Amino acid sequence: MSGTGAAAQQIDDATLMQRIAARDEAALRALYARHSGMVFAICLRILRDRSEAEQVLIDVFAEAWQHAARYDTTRGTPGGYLALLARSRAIDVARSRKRSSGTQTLRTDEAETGFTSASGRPSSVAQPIDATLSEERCAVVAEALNALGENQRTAVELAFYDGLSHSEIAVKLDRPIGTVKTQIRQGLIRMRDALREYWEGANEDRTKTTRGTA
Amino acid sequence: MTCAERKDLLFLYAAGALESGEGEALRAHLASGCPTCAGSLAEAQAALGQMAQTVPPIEAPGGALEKLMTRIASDGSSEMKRAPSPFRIAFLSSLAAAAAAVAITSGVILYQTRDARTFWQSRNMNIATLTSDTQPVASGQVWWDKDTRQWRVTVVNLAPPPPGQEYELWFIPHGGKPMPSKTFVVNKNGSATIMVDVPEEVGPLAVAAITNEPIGGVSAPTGSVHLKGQFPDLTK
Repeated sequence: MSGTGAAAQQIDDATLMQRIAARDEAALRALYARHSGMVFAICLRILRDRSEAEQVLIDVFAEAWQHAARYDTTRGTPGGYLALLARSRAIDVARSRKRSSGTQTLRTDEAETGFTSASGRPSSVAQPIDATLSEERCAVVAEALNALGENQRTAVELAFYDGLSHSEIAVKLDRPIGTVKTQIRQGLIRMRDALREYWEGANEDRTKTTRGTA
Repeated sequence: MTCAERKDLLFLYAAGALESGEGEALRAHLASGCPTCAGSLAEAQAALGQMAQTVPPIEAPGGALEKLMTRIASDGSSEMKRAPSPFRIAFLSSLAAAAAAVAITSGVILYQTRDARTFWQSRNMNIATLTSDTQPVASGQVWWDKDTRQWRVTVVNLAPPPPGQEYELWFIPHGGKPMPSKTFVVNKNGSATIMVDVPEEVGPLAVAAITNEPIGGVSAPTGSVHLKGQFPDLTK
């Protein structure tokens, strides 16, 4: 072992998910310690109510516990899965609140969380990256997000955090629907491309490290 | 509509920005098993998942973790109520046998806890996911520690075997015949964890399978395959 010993000691998220599937409560506590702040922040951003956000936070990790055996590492990182699940469940709560006050928006479903039973396997998807790389990866995404034009970024965020459809975003921002569609799509593509470049770089680095320590 | 045109919609779908009618049509197409669209959706989801993680974290309320642990502790019993099966009904009719089985399995798990600590420290590990055609809620995983040549097999939501039978684990070498490993029973929640030594003849691309067999096991499988999974080729 070399100087990377400290990093190697850290159990990656994918392994934690496997242990959770085997009903290891310590692994669930570890995953919670690592990601609860992120999940709670997403819930709070969408719901703007600490009590409701706490409830969804618990729901998200309980669901991860319940379905960990179905988690598929080829469909993205566990952190990404938790983030999408948090977003989806929080929007569901926000919508049920809106429905009771007479407003309605779109519904979310499992397909939006990346945790689906869709029969087709993705041909090329995000590769799981060790948790030790997550800060660096977040910086890459944040940079890509910041690089988006204000219009693109607002449209993506309204769709993502507020669960608005493109027609609702068009009304809210007073822009044509076609423009809103294009802005969301281009925004996501730019983020995807930034991530792809990063992942390819990270994988090359990991290959070099593996070869170097073999 | 072509898959190239759907690609645009999939980005909107992943972001939750489609109108409900458009979403239904896409869902139907995805359910048909189109690999191109499944790949496009996964890419969009990965980008969104990463975006969501860029929010500055906010410390979760104290006490939320313990509420979570209490919740999952109570989920085990409710899970069994939700998913009754013919096997389970048969199982409930022979409670005495069940109680004995649970006692044996619990003992095995407790005994294995010490071994598990050293097992998890291994970095030379391959993992196979077990899926089931006969029991949709059942699943499992096999961790293969190449250093100690052991499999750690965990199963969840597996129905108890019919009376007079138990489950048997099989090593199936690539292109070879099944080799018997060990028989086991599941606890009241349908879970079990066993550790077994792997024979030299089992190559890296082995398949793990679990069948129901007469108590004591057999040398060649006779029952149905309830869980099965292949180890991925790590050289690719």
